[in-house]
Amino acid sequence: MTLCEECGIRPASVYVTRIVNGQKVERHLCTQCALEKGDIGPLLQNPGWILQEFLQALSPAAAPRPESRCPSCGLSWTDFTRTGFLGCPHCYEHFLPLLLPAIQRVQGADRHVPGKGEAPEKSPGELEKELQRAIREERYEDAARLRDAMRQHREKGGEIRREPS
Amino acid sequence: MNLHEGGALTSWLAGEGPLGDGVISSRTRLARNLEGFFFPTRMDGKQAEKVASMVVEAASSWRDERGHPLRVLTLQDLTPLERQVLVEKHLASPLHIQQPYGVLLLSEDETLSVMINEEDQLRIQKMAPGLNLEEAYREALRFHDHLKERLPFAYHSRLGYLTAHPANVGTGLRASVLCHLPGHVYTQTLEALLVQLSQRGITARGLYGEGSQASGNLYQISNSRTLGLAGEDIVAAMDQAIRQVVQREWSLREALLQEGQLEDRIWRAYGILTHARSISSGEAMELLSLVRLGVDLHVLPPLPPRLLNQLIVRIRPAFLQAQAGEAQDPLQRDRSRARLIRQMLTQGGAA
Repeated sequence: MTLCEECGIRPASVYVTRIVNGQKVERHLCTQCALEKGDIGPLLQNPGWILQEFLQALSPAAAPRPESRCPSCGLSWTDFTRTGFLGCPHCYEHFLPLLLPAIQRVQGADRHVPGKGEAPEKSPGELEKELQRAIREERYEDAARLRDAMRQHREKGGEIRREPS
Repeated sequence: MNLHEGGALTSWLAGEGPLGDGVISSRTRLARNLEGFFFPTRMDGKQAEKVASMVVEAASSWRDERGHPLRVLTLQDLTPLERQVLVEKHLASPLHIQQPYGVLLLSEDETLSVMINEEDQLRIQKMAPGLNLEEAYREALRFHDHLKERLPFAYHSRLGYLTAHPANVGTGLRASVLCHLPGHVYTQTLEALLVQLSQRGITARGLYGEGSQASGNLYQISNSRTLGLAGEDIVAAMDQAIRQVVQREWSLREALLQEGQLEDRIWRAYGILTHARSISSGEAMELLSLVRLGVDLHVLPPLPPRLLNQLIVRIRPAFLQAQAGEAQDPLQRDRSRARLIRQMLTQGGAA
């Protein structure tokens, strides 16, 4: 198993190819280092880095396969690349590892900056994941708070869809 | 339904906003979707109807400054001509009026409009005369917050507000201004301006497509990025960029005037517009641009700014037919257009 060249701890699941002076240079990274630390983002803005190669290089373990479908609306990554439209809010969570580099390339950023007076929120999918974690870690006060937040969402009419585990 | 009267013509097209000699109007638009529903391209009729009824219900308690509620227009209940008038007034998009479940919410003065079930489930738009993105943004947000208390907007902790197309994700904010840029067009510096703007994350396009002449030197300029900056910072950056564009536009106009060819062109344009018996939309837009320039540069006697702004909309094909109260073929429209322009320019004061 190859280890990530960045952190040297996690297994490498992504390789990024770059052409420098006609020479092909490859780096093996873990997804966390590649995405979370924003290592890939700025590189992708550099024309030398090829997004398509990056997308293809994502290992099946690290990201949904292009033919994988959003569990909520059934859209596949291939559908998305054909039309440019996602199918539902849940698509963002499901395709996040694939979407972030593409978003970084188009938007020059991959993180929302809330405006004045805008309280950052969490999507029902994120709340659900946090709730499960809180229960697992026996943080019951946190779990109760998260359940309240989810109930509030439901009361406003939003349905909460669970990702099949 | 008299969609061609009042409203936009007397509010945001009234032409009395800041930097009105370079900027016709400002618009901010917020894209939003509801959690638990598919985006419009993927939803069925039942979902679309449910979304529309939830939004209409949430908006029903909202009142404008004068206490008026929003009008609810179900697009399929309107005639094709009425729908086209909404597009010509920039209240609905060409895509929106084709949607089988499209609904438009409209404030009394037509400065606030909400397209329901367009590319996103909600597109909240607020217009203001002249360069006034800050007010337009503040007011759009005020209405947005009213809905947010009542509706579960789709939001992600990392990516912000979720939109059907990732190019709008984050703030979902598009801040745009309609600019009159004859100085840039006639000195052939428009291309360079567009390149400069694009380097700052700003895009521009002709009002009715790319052809500059056909759109009367009017350009819609807007932010291209919606993520990574707070909404108010996007608005501030746009405001600053547009002020620089208008300043440059003015120095180009003055240089053109000093070269000496402009004055004759302006008077010729005025002569044609006040005497022609038939005129196409493209020619009218081009000549009206020169007349606007002539008024701004004090070559022509003053005309009320609202008159020239209203004409941008009133000479459009659907608008002409709505005003005439009958369907007209292109030749009839060219005659109606010439008559309307003659009347408006001569009543306006310059002679």
